[in-house]
Amino acid sequence: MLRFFLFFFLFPSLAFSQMTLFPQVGLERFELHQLYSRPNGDSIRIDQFKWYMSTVLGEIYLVDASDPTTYALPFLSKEIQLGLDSTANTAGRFDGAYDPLLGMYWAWNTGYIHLKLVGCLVQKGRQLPFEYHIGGYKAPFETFVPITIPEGTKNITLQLERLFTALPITTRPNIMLPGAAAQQIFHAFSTAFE
Amino acid sequence: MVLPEDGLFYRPEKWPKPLYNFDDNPLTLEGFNLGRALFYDPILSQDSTVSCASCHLQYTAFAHVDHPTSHGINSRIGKRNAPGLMNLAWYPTLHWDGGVLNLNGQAINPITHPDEMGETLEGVLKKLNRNRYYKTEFMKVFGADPIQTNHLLKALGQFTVSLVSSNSKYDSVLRKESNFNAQERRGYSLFIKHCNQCHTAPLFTNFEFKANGIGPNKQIIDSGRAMITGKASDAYLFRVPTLRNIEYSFPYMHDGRISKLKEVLAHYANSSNWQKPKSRALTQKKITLNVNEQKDLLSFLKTLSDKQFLFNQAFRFPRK
Repeated sequence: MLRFFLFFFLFPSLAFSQMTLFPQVGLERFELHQLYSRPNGDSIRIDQFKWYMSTVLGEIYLVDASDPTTYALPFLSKEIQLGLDSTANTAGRFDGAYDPLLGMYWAWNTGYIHLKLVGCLVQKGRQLPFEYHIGGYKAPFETFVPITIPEGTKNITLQLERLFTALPITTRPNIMLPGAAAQQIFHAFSTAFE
Repeated sequence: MVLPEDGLFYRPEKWPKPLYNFDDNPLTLEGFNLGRALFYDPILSQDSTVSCASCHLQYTAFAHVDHPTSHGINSRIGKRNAPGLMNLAWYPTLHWDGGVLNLNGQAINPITHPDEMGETLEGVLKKLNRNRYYKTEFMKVFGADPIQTNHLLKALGQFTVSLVSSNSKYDSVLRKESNFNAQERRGYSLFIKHCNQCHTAPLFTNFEFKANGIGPNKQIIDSGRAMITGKASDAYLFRVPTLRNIEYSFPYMHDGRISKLKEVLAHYANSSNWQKPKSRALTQKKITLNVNEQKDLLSFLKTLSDKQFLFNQAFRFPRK
């Protein structure tokens, strides 16, 4: 506790930023297990949606759409990044947000899944399941992007339309490894932050 | 040399600085003993039949003797040979493909792999948190209640990082406490000339990934290092294994396909046997070792056996 107060004493400009994410699809509020229609007549449903965010202070945080209370970001710093840097990926600590129990750890190829997106595309009555485990911290396929938040912003809209458009569901329904395809999806996700 | 009696990690004289982060996981005798209890306890597997020690036996330098590849629950068989466990504090990466970057996190792999212990972390933690012995010990060592992933991994790490082997005859010769015989001395010269480039002392590995000319396994599809890096040029490369205690850690190679050490030497002894792919260390070389030279080399390799390590009571099955 003392350390906590000391922190504010030393860095008075820092305070809990109290920023909250508002994921939406078009003008609708996003929710898991809901069908959202796409411009081409298909529909998309998301069943698992989790991602890591971090700050320049080394804080890391897991947002999980199955628990919307995690949309409130508990960051001290306003310099926010989507994904984790290589230090966080290779830290070798397994507590808190680093806990492999959270289902975001690649044990056999050390590193974290930065974005987990699992769902289904409904196309002409057919269901096409997809599963994306997006991560990577080694050049040139890092999935780690700084997010610019204008001064004074409290609510951050996440326009998921931009992410959905970029998903190569019909051609690559499963991506479980770092690489160019993973990076492309991740970058599309980063443009969802407004 | 007198070993620490408690079995805890030590850094042998003139060895490089260990890479393990001891600040993050300060070793204690209680923590080491807790890790040892876990290492030998089948509670870590889904149906409580398989422990770490099922495939990593102390008397064979914690390798799995006579088993080309590892065995798991329900008689399932893995793809790779369970390697010996020793001197892990110096390993920059673990596994035959180097995919694992830290020792503590390594244990998640065998625990959760369907062909090994087939358990989930949730399942293990649930069992440990219901077990009075573990509840008490984890509280003593880490002040942990409930026991969480990081406590489990740190406890196992305290034991496995302490498995130091540095008291072979070779080591005592270096310390001028004994001498090679004539055959061992001839073998040592051959070793320096032909093997030391990859199996570099004092750890007897340079930790690199190489193709040693045995050719891809025809039954088991396994591209090795390429699975981790995604690079085609890394296909069929596997870690250079340590040669410490090599006499006891048969069978050999990443897939355990060679059962006797003299057969391994026969493979290396004639460069015309080597199949593709071959790492540069091999393509640049032409070797022909006659039978006597192979015997000399074998007798040197046996000087890397460390009986103090293999029979150290501190590493044995714990009697609670």
